[in-house]
Amino acid sequence: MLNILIADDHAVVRKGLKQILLEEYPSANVGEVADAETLVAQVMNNGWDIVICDMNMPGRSGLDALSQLKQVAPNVPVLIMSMYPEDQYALRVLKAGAAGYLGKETIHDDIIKAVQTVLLGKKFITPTVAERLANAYRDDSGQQPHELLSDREFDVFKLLAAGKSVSEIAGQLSLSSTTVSTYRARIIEKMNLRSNAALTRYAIEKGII
Amino acid sequence: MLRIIIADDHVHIRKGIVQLLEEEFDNLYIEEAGNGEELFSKVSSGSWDLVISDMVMPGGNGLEALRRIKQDRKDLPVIIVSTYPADQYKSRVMEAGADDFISKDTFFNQLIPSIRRILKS
Repeated sequence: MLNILIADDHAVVRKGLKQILLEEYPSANVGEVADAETLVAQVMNNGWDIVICDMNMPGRSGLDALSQLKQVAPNVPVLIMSMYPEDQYALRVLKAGAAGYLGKETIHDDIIKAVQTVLLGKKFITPTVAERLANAYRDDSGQQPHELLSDREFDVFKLLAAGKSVSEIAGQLSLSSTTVSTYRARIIEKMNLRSNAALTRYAIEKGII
Repeated sequence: MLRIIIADDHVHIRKGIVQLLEEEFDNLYIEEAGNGEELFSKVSSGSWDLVISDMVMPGGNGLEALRRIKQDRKDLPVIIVSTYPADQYKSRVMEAGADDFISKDTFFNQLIPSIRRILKS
């Protein structure tokens, strides 16, 4: 039996994806979790063949959860889904060990193909991501400023750019305010930007938020 | 029989809403629309008890469809759902004639009570 675990804090998304998966795999066991903590516990304690995980869940980012999943169950393929554009996020997610990236705009078209692909032990890569990969390989030195950030710095950068305060970010990512401020200083230095407004402008221009 | 149209450009969201409704109500007839134009066309060509529509859709958004539906069928209840936060958008949507506005963040807990309240009134 195929065991698929869906992690998303929106029940309506979980139910919809579960329905699409069951139409293709009627005998599959499709589980649901609503947060990263439960996701990691489920993957540690039960045998899931595939995990489909939202990138933004309360308590911990999907990238964080992905990193932990790769430690506790390195052989379980994890597909990351997100409402963010794949040309900005997919490479980072793939580098972090995901088996593929699903944009929520096209997930209903891609999800079955993605599951079929990762069951064969392959990565699911859309043509847009393949082109980005080719460009990144061709010009490794031409990284954009946000590509210089670590995954955690990138999480903090997105939230700062979205107008969240240091204390709000600390609460959302389960970090101290001091740690978030340290990340902010590193982000500003690495990206050579001077203010949160500049971070926001940059993120909008690049389609990151 | 309860006749409902669900409009959202994301297939998985429509399927999720259908699941949610089927768990709560018996004797349902549901149709789906992928954009505002299709929604308005379906509303015009049938008899319905309720519309559940996303606020932002390609090809004629939910608010335009809402205004047209309310011009044409003033008594047909319309619930608008959105990923946008209620504190910023609810009043605007209600002024446009919606019977309720539900953010997708609180969707799971609020949709069914909202439907029961609207249908009761």
